[in-house]
Amino acid sequence: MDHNPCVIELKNLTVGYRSTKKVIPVLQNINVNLQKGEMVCLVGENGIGKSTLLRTLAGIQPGLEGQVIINGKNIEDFRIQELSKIISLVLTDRIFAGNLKVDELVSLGRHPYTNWLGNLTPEDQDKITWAIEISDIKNIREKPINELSDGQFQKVLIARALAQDGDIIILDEPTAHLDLPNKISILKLLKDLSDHTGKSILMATHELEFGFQMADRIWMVLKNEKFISGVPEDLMLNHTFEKLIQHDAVNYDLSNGRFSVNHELKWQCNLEGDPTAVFWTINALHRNRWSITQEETNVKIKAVKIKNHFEWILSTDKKNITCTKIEEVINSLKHFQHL
Amino acid sequence: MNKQVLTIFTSLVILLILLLLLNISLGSVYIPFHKTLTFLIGKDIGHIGWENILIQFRIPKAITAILVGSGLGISGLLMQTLFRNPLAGPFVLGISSGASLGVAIAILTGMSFGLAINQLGIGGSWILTVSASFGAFLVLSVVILVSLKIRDSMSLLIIGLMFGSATGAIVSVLQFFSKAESIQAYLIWTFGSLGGLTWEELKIFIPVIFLTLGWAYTFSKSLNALLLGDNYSRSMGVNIKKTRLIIIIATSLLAGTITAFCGPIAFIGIAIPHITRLLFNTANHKVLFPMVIFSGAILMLFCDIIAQMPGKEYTLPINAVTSVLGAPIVIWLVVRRKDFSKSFSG
Repeated sequence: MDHNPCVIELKNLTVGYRSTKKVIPVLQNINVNLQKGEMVCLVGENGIGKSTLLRTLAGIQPGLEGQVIINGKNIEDFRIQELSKIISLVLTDRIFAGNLKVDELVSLGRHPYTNWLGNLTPEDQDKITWAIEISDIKNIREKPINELSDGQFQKVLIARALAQDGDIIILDEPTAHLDLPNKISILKLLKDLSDHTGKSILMATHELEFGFQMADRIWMVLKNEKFISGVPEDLMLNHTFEKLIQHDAVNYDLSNGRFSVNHELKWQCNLEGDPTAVFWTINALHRNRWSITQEETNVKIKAVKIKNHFEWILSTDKKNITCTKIEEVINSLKHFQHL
Repeated sequence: MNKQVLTIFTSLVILLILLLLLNISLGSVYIPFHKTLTFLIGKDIGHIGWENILIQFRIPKAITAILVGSGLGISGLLMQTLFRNPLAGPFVLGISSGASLGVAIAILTGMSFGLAINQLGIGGSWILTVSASFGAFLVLSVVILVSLKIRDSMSLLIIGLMFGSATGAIVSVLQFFSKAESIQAYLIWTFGSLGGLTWEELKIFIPVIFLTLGWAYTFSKSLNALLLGDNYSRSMGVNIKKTRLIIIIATSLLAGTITAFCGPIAFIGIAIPHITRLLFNTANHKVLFPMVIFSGAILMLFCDIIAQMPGKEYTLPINAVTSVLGAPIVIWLVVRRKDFSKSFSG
């Protein structure tokens, strides 16, 4: 079934913590593979053990049971220097050296390859330049890292991981704290990397919507259930995905893959008219706990497009009100909420 | 190295040479500056007394000052990077507390056996050196053993601080049961002194500091990786436990030897790395390393000039002078460069 060779194979892996007195397993019996050139999103609720799993795969933390096999070889048989040439990391750890310059930080990625003094060869320089260019941080390469925005900093960390030049990049929540355009641009960058460089990318993320749009495969961790792996669309259609977001406050529409806030609706009205205006009017009505129904009610709203703007005609048993803004519609409706 | 760094570096070298000459030529006995220069380039100055002062006292003291400043500066840098903490210094692992304990036991209990160490002359200073080394070594061995057991560096920092407090408390108890003159002898040791070293002692002091500094320079690469924290370092192939161990050993050799010979000299070790980082605005240890060595030597020579109060009969305790002069320098740099704290945060 697998066309590509596996770069990481997990066999009956249990991860967790071992102290002198007891063993605390966090995730148990994981059997899954990461293929070459694949972009995989690891999803699951906060505190379920995603970071623990990532650290175990990266060789920073030992597993409790089972095996982690990297490029066909058990992870415990690797020397730490060998492993660092295969796996590079992007973590959420704070970096306590704000005056470190961007290109110095990226250069640190060459650590496994340089001599005892850390001198860079022309080959190292080429890799650094490539990493900086592909991550689109050329314009900030002279800046100290404390002057960067969160989005820029995340790109710098990715560039450092690229300079380390392993086949596998493991990222822990690379888009946390980023605004929407930055989130998408980081995910796009990672997707392009897996497509063009053949690197395998594994990231823990809470970006469900974008993750499901871009990932080749989803690894899903659910409470009290087996570890699930699959192509995003399959997980959607077999309703596995919904288990991840089971929450009273969230609505999920399988037909379009959209999430919405679950407003508890109290009142009913009728709505018709221009489709664009209707769409946003529904948005506003739901937020104000009005639902739209096909059955006859005593509050009817008609949205009409007049040249470049919209008008709403609100008709009740008693009177008709014409509104030019949704704000006015909402305010007028408040009057009927107490009826 | 860029142009600005090179300029500052050149000024540091010139400053170091100037201060060295000044340090040697100044003291309680007046020796004309040109006579000192003549003597230093190997010519006869025709004054046996002056020659003796220069050879037996001032030159060893200047060499000691340079080595103490560089050595403490580097140990401070090593500790600040290992613990990624701006308050770390050469003595956070309890080295000076260990040395103090050794010396306290030697002086305070020795005196109750009727031995007055300050009356033993040269032999007495060796007893102090040996007991300081022994105390530092003892505390350090425990810290190193603990460091092999625990995973993260921060816990080690706290354990080091605890050892410091505990040994400090034992010294207090010893003092409580001691006579006034023993306590005074102990206090004088805690003031620190650069002037006590003979050429015999320098034969041990110079090579230990030099070799350890050279050895520590080879850590630059790992130290740079450590800036990113333990997890990243490990993922880049750094063996954290081994690196931590060699950093601790190098720091102990530097700070331990210095404390044994010169007493617990405070402040320089914490201040010099900060001063250097602020001057050069870099986190790269390959640059910081030589700069810390130079800045440390310069500040120590300068403090020593002040401490010996040119023209006066007495000298101030070097330990007080370093703090009184160093603190305003650090405060001034921190206030001037408002982004100082950022060199320790992301």
